[in-house]
Amino acid sequence: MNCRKIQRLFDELAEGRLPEALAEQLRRHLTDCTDCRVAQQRAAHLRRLLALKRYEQPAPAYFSGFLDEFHSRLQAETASPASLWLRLKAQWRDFRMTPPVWTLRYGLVGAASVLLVAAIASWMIAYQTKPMVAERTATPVGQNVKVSDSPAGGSHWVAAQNGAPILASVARDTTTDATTHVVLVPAEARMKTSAPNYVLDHLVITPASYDGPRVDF
Amino acid sequence: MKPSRKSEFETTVLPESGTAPAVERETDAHHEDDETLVARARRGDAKAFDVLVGRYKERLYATVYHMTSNREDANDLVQDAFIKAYRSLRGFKGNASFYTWIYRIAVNRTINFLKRRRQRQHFSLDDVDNNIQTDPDFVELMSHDTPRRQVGLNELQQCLNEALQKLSEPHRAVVIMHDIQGMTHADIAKAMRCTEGTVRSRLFYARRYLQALLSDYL
Repeated sequence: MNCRKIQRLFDELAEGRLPEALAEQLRRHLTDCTDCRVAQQRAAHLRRLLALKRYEQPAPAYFSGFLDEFHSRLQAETASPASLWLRLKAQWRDFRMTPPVWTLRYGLVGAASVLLVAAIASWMIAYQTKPMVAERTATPVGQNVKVSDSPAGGSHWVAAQNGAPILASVARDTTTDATTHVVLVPAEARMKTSAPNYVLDHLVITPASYDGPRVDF
Repeated sequence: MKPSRKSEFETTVLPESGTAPAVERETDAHHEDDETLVARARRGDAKAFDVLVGRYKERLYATVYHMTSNREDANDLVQDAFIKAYRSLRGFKGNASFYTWIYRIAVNRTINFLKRRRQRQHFSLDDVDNNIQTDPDFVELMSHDTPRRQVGLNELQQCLNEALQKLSEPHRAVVIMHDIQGMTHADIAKAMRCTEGTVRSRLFYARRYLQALLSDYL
């Protein structure tokens, strides 16, 4: 047990409310530790000093009119009851000390700020990235998926092997033997009407040979 | 500190007529335990609640006074606490004693009041009883070789109150309940609705702060 924990048990030690083994441990520590011994003496001094405040007392006749005042105030309050909101607020204050919401105010404000920033950031990202077109179609197995620009129709583009659409999900209906594809295609991909040209198509690649002339060192 | 639930003066002999005369009932009320008085007050017997007010007003006043260092505020707050208790009597479940319940109401009202009053601090102190002059602790303090051993009583009172007012409300409440009122950690925990560990911790930090503030007297 460290000094700090021991110093928190001084009251129990003084009042004899500690188990004997623990009390003995504390007493042994106090004989060895000067800091704790001084702290104990200072705590005892402080308690005795504060106890002198008990001598601050009102005059003997101070409470003579207390009950009458209580009755008159009670009558006044009964005659003009507070609004429901005020009563609920008072109830909360009286029996819940301070509202937990109030004690956690900094945490709640922080969490709300983080959520707000996250919401703004995600909205900005969604706004700035290229729009995606998604369409859910049911097609027989093995066929391609048709993707249109808008639900109303217009230009169509078949997401064949050349278009390289992004396949988001595929679900297969066993009863109709149909597969449902959800296809997400980048906007610029939809502009393409012909097969793309790959850079490597234009290159004449000569296979490398590792059978070179032998060099002897 | 906590009153016994069963008063030693409680009579077990009921009058043969079934209902005692009014004067006799009123006199007996002062000897009845809290539970009986609360039950009677719930049934609309205002006199029973008056007995409870008379029983606890001074103890509540002392705690609230030490927390506010202002006797007018203390009087108002104790009145408020009793009014609140009277109006909420139906909601009193009896899980804790009446004293713990009313004490909690008074302390909570005081803490909320002090939070609102933080800007305006005005002392209005009670007089110090002359018996302090014979208190062994006071005699020792005065004879102790401290820088302030020539301190006057009023100055000491002022310093103690100022130091206490520098603590936060929950820390001050714990110090007052323990070191001035002499309540146990368990009773404080019940009144403050916290754990005994929290009480110990608050006492530890409050005392450390007070020791720094009152180092001239220690």
